[in-house]
Amino acid sequence: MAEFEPRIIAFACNWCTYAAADIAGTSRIQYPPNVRIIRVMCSGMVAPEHISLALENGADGVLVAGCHPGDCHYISGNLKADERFQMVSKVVSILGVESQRVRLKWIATSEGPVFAQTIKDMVNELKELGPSPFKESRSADRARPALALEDMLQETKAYYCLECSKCTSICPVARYDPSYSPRAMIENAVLGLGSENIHDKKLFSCLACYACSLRCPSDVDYPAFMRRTREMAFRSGEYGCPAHGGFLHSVTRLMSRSPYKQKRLGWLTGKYKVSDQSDTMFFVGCTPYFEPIFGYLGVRALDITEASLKILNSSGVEPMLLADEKCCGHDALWTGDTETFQRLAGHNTKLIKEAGTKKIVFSCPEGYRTLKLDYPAHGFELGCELQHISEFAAEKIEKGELKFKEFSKKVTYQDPCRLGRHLGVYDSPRKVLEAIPGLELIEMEKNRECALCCGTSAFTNCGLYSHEMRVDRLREAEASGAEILVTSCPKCQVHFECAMNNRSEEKGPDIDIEVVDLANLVAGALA
Amino acid sequence: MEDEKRIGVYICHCGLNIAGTVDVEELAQYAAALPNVVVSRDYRYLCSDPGQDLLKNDIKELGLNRVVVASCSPRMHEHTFRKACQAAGLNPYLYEHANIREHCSWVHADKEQATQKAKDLLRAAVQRVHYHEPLEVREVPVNPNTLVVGAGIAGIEAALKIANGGHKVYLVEKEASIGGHMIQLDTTFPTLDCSECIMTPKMSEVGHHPNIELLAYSEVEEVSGSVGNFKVKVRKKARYVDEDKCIGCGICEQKCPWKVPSEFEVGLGKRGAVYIPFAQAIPNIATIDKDHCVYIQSEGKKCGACIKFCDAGAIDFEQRDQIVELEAGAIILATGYDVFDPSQIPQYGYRKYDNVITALEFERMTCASGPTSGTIRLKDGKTPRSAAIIHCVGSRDKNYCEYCSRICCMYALKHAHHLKEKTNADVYGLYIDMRCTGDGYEEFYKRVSEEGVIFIKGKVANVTDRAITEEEKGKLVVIAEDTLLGKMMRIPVDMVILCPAMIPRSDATDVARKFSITQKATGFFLERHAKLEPQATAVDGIFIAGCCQFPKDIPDSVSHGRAAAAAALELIDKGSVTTEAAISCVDETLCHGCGICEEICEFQAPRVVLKDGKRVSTVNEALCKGCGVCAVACPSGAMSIKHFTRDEIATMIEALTAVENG
Repeated sequence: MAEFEPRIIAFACNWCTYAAADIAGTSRIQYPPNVRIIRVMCSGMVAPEHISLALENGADGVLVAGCHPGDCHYISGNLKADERFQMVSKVVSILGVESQRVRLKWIATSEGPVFAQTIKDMVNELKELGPSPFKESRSADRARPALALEDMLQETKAYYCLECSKCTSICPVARYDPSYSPRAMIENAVLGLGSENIHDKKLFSCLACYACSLRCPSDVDYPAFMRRTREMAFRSGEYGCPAHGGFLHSVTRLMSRSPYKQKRLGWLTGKYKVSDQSDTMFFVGCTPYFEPIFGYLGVRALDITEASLKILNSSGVEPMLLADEKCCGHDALWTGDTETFQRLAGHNTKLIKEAGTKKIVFSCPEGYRTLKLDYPAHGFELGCELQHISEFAAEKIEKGELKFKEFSKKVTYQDPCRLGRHLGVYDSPRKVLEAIPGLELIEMEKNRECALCCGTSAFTNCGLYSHEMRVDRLREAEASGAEILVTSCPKCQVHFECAMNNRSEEKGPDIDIEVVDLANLVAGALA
Repeated sequence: MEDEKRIGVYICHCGLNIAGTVDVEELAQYAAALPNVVVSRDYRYLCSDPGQDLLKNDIKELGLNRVVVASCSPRMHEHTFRKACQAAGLNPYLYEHANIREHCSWVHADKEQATQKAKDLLRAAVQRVHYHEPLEVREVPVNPNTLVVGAGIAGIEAALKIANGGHKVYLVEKEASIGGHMIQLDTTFPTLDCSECIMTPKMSEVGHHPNIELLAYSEVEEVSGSVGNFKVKVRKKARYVDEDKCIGCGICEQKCPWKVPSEFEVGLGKRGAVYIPFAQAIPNIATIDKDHCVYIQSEGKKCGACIKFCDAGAIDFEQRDQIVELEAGAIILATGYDVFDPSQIPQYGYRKYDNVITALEFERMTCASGPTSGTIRLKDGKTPRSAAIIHCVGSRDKNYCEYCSRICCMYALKHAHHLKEKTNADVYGLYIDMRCTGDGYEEFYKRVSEEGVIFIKGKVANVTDRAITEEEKGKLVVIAEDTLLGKMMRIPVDMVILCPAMIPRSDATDVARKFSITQKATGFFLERHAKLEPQATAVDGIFIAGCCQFPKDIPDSVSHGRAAAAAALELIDKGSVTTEAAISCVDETLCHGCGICEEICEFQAPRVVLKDGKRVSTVNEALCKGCGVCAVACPSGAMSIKHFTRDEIATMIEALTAVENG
């Protein structure tokens, strides 16, 4: 077998590193032919998803290279590149990928020899590491079976649509973006114009909030219809306008195809009691990844995880945490990437079964929904009890095992779509909140089945409609007279914080309400 | 919807530069089989006229709507081929370039591997060109005024050239008078022209020129806008003297009881708290140094002598700094240099021994208009009977400035000559290498050698007053190895002249930041191209002249100043500029108006505005430089950068990661 030749993708800034590579050429400095340069105007133009996409595509190494600090043609683009690169490095390291595969280097125009040496060094290091494991999975993904439109329409009962348009009139997306219509989507599909839906970017606007399905007189499962249509779209290379450049989806795909052992529990300290022998498992979910990615919003996602552990420990439960738990696959499933979902579900199911778990507790409603409904629907039977942390806490409160101190605040509660409309869990979180002495729970105008979604889902489209929805919801929360908006989904918190984030000089939506996860509030009030 | 993509692929042999290593015929065949490629050709020199014609004809005859060239670096010829496309009626942005020379044939010797890499690079370019969209380059009129910052010889030359060409110049100088370092010099090498005599006519011309608006004692505060249309705020510092009333008689300085070391005389002489820096100052107006003026410091309770003695009634303590707003199409920075402070090298004894002085101090000493009226003398007033001139103080030294300061060898020779001429002292020149590279410079070296100056090739280790022999008593002992003889030397002398490096201005970083230009590792301003565009910066419309770029002698500074002037005139005479086409754009259906783009942009291009009651970001096309930083930061994907969209980069990644068999 021929010697392994690593493939390096180098993003080189036009003004310094690309020019340095030119100088290396002019000076005829020889270096191994393993590198492929992509010219960008500035290293600050390199997005996190570019790096993860290169890894996904099987690049053995990725180099981001630009001007030395202070030399940027655009003043500080390289410093921005550095900031983002640090974020990506953290994510890549949690994934378990060797740090040598992803690199940032400043190479000035005059440093042709430095460029050549950098490539030589990288090639040598990568040869020692061996080929990227993502290379194989990439070729394996190529052949996918096609979905039959006919089957899909049957399965989701779309044929039964009466065109009454109750779905569109209740749809929160349609309310803010009148060009979006669930009814029209169904109609197109039934008329055999499915490919129009597939190439319509709006396909990725649906929140799967299930407001429509609850109203449909014909029992059409619109979210399932939309999910199946997205599957077809995904196979034709459509993905809408994913928020955050699709970086989160890319990370999920990497995770699903990764043989690496993750380093996802680096945050865990002796402060919390966990046990590998426990028959109760806590599903950590995506928070270790959210921590670096959403740090810029001031969201500390791991706080929610830590608070949940505190609640479990206070109830005498020392849960098991899976060191190599992977993403539940929710976002993959809802963006039509079933291949990724299947891989993730398979991996998690195997680990959970091997662990002999009897009960799994979630702080994230998406993980809860996915393991509870979607895993079995795709043939991944877990055979154990599943609970959201709010249900767990409600049960313990009833038994008198959790005690609280006084917490005199007015709060209101956001029903996350997955916990509420998807799974019907409305009472437990409210019971928990009401058990805290001094706390006054005020309902927003739209609550329970009628609650308004936090505006975006699965990090797909996140247009103006999404922002307006969130702002309206926050205003509603504020109007209720509550001081704190409690949610029980880490993503709701991210989306709400994002909506309140204003960095421009133009005055932003004037909302000032604290958004707190239920777990954090409960853990903070524990006696 | 656009018609089907029809791609033409052209592969350049570049003689044997590419064809010697890359199998260009195989490459052409390979490209021909790629999707939508209508024609694929290889040619000896594509950049030649017949080469470009090939491409132009195909565009017309085969109806190509996309073109890919694989040749040298796009930094070399992308522009050439884009123009060829445009000449044939194709939007120049429907063009993509693959670099198979600098990044392939020149750096890889193995023909098979190089050919494979060239195929990958070409495939990626062909895949990407599918996504290119026609972009429109806009024309913006150029404001015909020029701002020149710094009025030393380089800035003065630049200002005069433009002004003589009939265009308005704003000349901003931070000191009280124009003239820079050159007006401080005694004579100029190698001709020994009197510096003042050749400089003052130029200064006077600046002072009277109808097209030059001089803003002396002023500093640039803020710069916005872009090439063709800069907006500049200048702080005109308060002189506390009414410029219109002051006749420059100098009575105020004579009567001012407070004396401080004169900056112009490098501390060798004194000036008043109210002063005119030197006799030929332009503008010839007094300035009150508020830090030393007792009237100002005592809040009007003490002194006030100048008010009493000024017949013109020009003293005005109510004067305040003024902000002047200017508009200019081009900017020339000629901010000059500072002199390295030799006290950083303690072994040379500067500021420790009285008779260790710098070359600039010596200039003032030998100058007839200087504080000693041109008499060379020691601190005690005696005439030196021996002197050592130490070259490379701070320069060519990893600990301080790695570079060669270029002019020191020559002025050291000039000083040696004047020492010999005026004192007939024994003169020792201690050098590392004697660098006399200009016209008549080597001849001057020969002349000074023949005058009896003793040259010793050796870097001085130490200057001390510790005598070990009778002869050394009361002298400064210069310790160095004569590397040609391989012998340690102890040279007792009366005077030591240090030749310190020229260094970037202490505020160079602030200035660079204000004008958004970049600095080199040395701190000097970075030119756009070291060889071909030494007067341009990376920012369109901002040029540099003189020693702010790198140490230069007077003729080089003059040439550089004129080169910058020519560049500015080119812009003014053209009358319009084209703006960057590959810039950011906002999809308003996705924008949340969060302002992350606004916060992250260094050029204030995106701004969140209210449109139909909705907050939405808009990009000022004239300000956007196309760096793409905002597009990456945008959380919703509303912001994208033309020509480098997500799809374009993604397809390149996909193409370049694919490993083909073969």
